[in-house]
Amino acid sequence: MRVKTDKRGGEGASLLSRLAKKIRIAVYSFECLLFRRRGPKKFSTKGLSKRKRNDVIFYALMAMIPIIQFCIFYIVVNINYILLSFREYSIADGRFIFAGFRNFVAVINDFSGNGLMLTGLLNSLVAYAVGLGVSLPLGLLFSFYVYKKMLFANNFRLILFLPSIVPGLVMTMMYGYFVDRALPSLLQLITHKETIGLLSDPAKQFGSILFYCIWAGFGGGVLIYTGAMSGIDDSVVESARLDGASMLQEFFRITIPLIWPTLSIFLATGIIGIFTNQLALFNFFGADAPSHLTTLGYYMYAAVQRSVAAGGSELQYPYLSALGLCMTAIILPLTLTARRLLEKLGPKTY
Amino acid sequence: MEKRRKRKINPFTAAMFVVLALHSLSLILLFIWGVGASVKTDYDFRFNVFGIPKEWTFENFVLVWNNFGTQVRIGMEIKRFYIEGLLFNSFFYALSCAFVGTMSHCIMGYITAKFKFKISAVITTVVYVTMVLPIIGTLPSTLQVVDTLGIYDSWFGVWFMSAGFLGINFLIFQAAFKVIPSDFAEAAQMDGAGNFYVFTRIMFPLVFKTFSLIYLLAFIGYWNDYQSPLIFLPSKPTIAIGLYYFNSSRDGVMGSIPVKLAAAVVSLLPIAVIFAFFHKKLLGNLSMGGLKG
Repeated sequence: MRVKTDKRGGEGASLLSRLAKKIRIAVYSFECLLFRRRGPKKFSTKGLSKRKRNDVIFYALMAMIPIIQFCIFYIVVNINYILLSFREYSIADGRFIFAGFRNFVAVINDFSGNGLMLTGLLNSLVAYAVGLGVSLPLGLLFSFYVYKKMLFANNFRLILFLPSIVPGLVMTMMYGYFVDRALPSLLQLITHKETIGLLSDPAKQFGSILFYCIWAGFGGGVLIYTGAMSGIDDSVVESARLDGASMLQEFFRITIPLIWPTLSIFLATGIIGIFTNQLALFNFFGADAPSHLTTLGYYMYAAVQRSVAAGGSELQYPYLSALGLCMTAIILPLTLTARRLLEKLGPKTY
Repeated sequence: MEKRRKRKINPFTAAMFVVLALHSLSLILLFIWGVGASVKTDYDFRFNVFGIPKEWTFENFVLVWNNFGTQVRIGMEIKRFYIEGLLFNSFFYALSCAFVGTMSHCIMGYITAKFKFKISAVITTVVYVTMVLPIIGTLPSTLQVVDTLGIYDSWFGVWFMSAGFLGINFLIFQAAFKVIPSDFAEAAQMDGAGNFYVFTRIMFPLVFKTFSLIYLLAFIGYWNDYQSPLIFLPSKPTIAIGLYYFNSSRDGVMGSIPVKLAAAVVSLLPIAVIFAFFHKKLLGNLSMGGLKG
C-alpha cells in the first residue's frame, strides 16, 4: 500500500505516518483474526462488508466492559499479587520496597515454627478430609435417594435446599445459640448435670463447628449431584433392573460411573477447599476466632479484614500474598494431578 | 408398579430415609426454635430456653426496627445507619450487582455463542482454564488495585467488580444461546434489524427464564454475602453487615439473644419471600442439571 507522506516532510511527520500505517495494519490483522481469515500477503485497503463491520463493532462494544474487567481483576490483580509477594512495606519510607524472597522465607519459617500456621494447616486438612469422607458419600447417597424419587424425596430436596439460600450468618447465629444455650439446658434436664455450651467449651468447639459445616453444607451438593444423575439415560437403568440389579448395585455400578465425569471435576477442583475453607469461623467469631480453631482460609480473610478495619494498613499484604502464592504452588499441580488420576483410575463406562 | 414399590423399600433405602428425615427435622426444628426464641422475653429465654414461649411478645421486633443499626466512619465523620438505611443498601447492592453480573455473563455468552470469531474461542478457553486453575490469596492484591483505580468503597467499584464473565454462568448462557436457531435473527436482519435489536428483542426474551433464574440465585448470593462488602464497601453497610456487628454487640437490651434472633429473622424475610414464591422455579431448573439452566 502506498502511504501518503506529509508534504511538509520532516522526521516527525514521517514517524507519524509510519505509526498510522502500522496501526491500520494491526487493526486489519485483528479483523482477519476475528473472521478466521488468513491475513493477506499484501496489505489491502479492501475492507470488510458493512454487516461484518457492524458485527465487529457490536461485538467490541458488548465485550468491552467484561474484557476490561477481566484484564484488571484477573490479569493485573494476579501480576500485582506476584509482585506484592516479593515486596515489603517500609514504614520509614511509607512505600513498598523490593524484599526478594524474604516473605517466602517468613512463610516457611512460620510453618515450621509458628503454632498458629501449623494448627491452621492441620484444621484445614481435617475439614477437607471430613468433607471428603463424610459429606461427599452422604451427599451422593441422598442425591440418589432424591433422584430415584423415593418416599418424600421432593420434600427432602426442598428442605435440603434451605441452608443454601438462608444467610450463613443467620444459620450460624441460630445454630450457635442453640448448641450454646438450648442444648445444655436440655441435657441438664435429662442428666441433671450442669453442661457447658458446645461453643463455649474449647474441647468441643472444633467438633461442633465441623458438625455444623457438614450438617448445613451437603444440601448444595445434593442439588448438583441430583442434576447430574437426572441426565442418566433411563434405558440403561431399566436394563439393569431387568437383569435383577439391586438398588446398591445400581448406585455403585451404574449411577456413580455415569456421573463420574461431573463428579471427578468437582473432586479435583474441590481440592482448593483445603486452603480456602473458612469453616464458617468468621460467622461464629468474627475476626477474633480462638487460635486453636483457625484454618488457613480463615486466617487469610481475617488478616485482610483486620487491616481494613484498622484503616487500611497494607503492612501484612506482602506476607499474605506470599502465603497465597505458596498455597497456589502446592494446589495447582495437586489439582491437575488429581484430575488426571481421577480420570484414569475412576470407574469406566463402556 | 407393585414390583417397583417393593424394590424401593429395603434396608438401604430405609436407612437413607431415616437419616434424611432426621436431618430435615433438625433443620426445621432449628428454624422453629430460632423464630420461637425471637418472640420470647429475655427472662423467658433465660429460664425457658428450649420450650414454647410462655408469653409471646413482638417487642423484640419493635426494638430491632427502632434501634437495629451500625455506625461507620466516612472520612472524619461517623455516620449511623438504621434498619431503613441498611435495607436500602442491601436491596441496592444485591439488585444492582446481581443485574450487572448476570447481564455481563449473558452478553458474553451471547456473543461467543452467536459470533464465530476466533476471539470467541479464546474467551471460552479462558473461562474453562480459570475454572480449573486455582489461585489463592489475591484479596490483598485486589484491594490494592481497587484502591489505585480510585473505586474503593464506591457503588461503581462493586458494580465493576461484578461485571466479570468468568464462571459457570457464562457456560450456562452460552449453552442456552447455542441451542436457539439463528433463523429468527436472520429473518429480522433481512428486514433491516441491527445486532442490538436482535439481541434485545429476539434472543434475550428467549433466554429470559434462564436469566431470571441466574439473577435470582445471584440476588440471594449478594444479599447473603457480607464478607465482600465488609472489605470493599465499608461505608455503605448492608443488613448482613449490620447483623454481623449486631451479633457481636454486648450492650444492654440490644445485646439480648431474643433481640439478636429477631434481627436475624428480619434479615431473613426477603429471602423467605423469594423462596416462598420462587422455590419451584429455583428447584425445578436446578433439577434439570444445574449446568443446563
